[in-house]
Amino acid sequence: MTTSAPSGPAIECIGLTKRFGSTLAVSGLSLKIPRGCTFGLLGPNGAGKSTTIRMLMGMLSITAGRAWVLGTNVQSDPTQVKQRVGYVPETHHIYRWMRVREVIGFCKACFRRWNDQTCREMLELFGLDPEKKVKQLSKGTLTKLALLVAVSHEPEVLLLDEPLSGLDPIAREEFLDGVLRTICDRGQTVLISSHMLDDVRRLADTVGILYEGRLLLEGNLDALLGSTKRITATLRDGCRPKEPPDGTVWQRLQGREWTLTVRDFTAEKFQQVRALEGVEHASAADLGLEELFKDIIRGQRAGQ
Amino acid sequence: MNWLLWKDYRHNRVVVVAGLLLLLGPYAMVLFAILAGFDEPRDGWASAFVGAAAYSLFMSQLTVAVVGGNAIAGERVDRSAEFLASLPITREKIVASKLLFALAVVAAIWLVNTGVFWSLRATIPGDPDFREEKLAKIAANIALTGLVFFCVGWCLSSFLTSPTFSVAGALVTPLLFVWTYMLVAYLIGERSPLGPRMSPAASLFDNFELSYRIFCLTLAPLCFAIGTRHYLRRVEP
Repeated sequence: MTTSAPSGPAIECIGLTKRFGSTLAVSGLSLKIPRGCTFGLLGPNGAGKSTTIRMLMGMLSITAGRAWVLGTNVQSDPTQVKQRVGYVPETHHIYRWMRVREVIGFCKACFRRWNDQTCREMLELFGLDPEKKVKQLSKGTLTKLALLVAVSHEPEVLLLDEPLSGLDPIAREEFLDGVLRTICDRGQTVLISSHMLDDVRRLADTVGILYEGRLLLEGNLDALLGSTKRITATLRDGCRPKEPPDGTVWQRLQGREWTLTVRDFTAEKFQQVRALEGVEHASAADLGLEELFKDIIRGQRAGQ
Repeated sequence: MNWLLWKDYRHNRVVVVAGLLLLLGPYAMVLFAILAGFDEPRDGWASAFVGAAAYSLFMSQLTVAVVGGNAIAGERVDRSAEFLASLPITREKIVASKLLFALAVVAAIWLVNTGVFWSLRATIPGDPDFREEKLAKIAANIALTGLVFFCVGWCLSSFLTSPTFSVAGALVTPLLFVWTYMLVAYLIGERSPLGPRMSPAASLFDNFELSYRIFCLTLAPLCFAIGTRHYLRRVEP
């Protein structure tokens, strides 16, 4: 598979694996991101988000598995992938001695396509001084410059690796509403990795949760939130919780209160809990993305 | 390609400035001696300039070692290689640009110094044929040393993250050869504690210059090929 029709997935991985010595950073990741989708790749620190993105950019060797971006195999033609992908890394390593205008000139010379108007507009929007040296820029301004470069060559896919980390709350708001929102609404495919769940909630329509290199779940965000509920059951004195229903990703017993987070929630599953011996009372509630994320990770850590 | 070349020049600007000091410093010292009214040397000021050219040519090989050792590792140490790797530039273009930059540095060093040699050769005392043969020999040995400096530095730079180690490795290589040569020559030579002329290879060690040239001409292309191949095949920046 070297090329794909324009209707094919924007990003596809099959069994993507990366090992650093004895550490397994990404383990058998299989993922398909359709074109035009804004995909939020969530995971705690060290989950393998950056490693995955760097492999997709052709900047990191792949231990096993395969990956395609816009139908191009990232291992066989990384330059072609980079021509069509905009990348904003978590930490910026742009030549510190370059001036902003030199960074733009250098990048413009590297890409086949470059939209001067977009570049000028973003330069103005971000208030970037073309004569300033990179070493004089703050982390936020550097992120803006990286985003300007990533967007000005009109990429079909944007890979944003923790683009908001290190930004103060005001800069983050500016970014989320003014910039990333616009980008996501353009119809480009965006993969944004973050552990700031609120930000992802505002941007992404699909999410995947990565933990210790494994993709725990993936799906439409609204559907995921709609189908996952938290059941809180009150147990009678001296009773212990019984077998939880299928799809329980996390459970906790605190005193008489038994809390369960259940995926693919159905009324039957809820009835099943209510009907368990020792359950005095039970209620089900919706979950936010942050609670869902935390429960899934906690469940994994507890080996549930 | 022009932007890449410009980037390589700007990234190595400190090296270029230091290289210019090494290149022009010896000439500046002779000029200073003339302007300050120092006594003219026995063979005249022209021979002083020839001496300055020899010194400048020899010392400038340090610049060549730094350019080689800094070529790839220099961008890894400040992680700007990651930025470069995120752009759609082929490794072949990156290598070509780095080599062109190095070639420009080497060309500048040799053009300036051989230019001075050539224009003042008549003023050097002694038999002209012998003198020119001797000069050519010295120039060839310096060129081979520079070649080893660059190629070993380039090779180490391709594998390492530290340009310091790459440059140090390049500078130490000819010395390692000399030490090894001396040790082997001592061990198999006539005054060897192991007995005289133990090996037929001993005759090779009679001629240090030839051995050194063989060493340089074997090691330099090998290191260059290994370093380039490694960098071209490596996925990581």
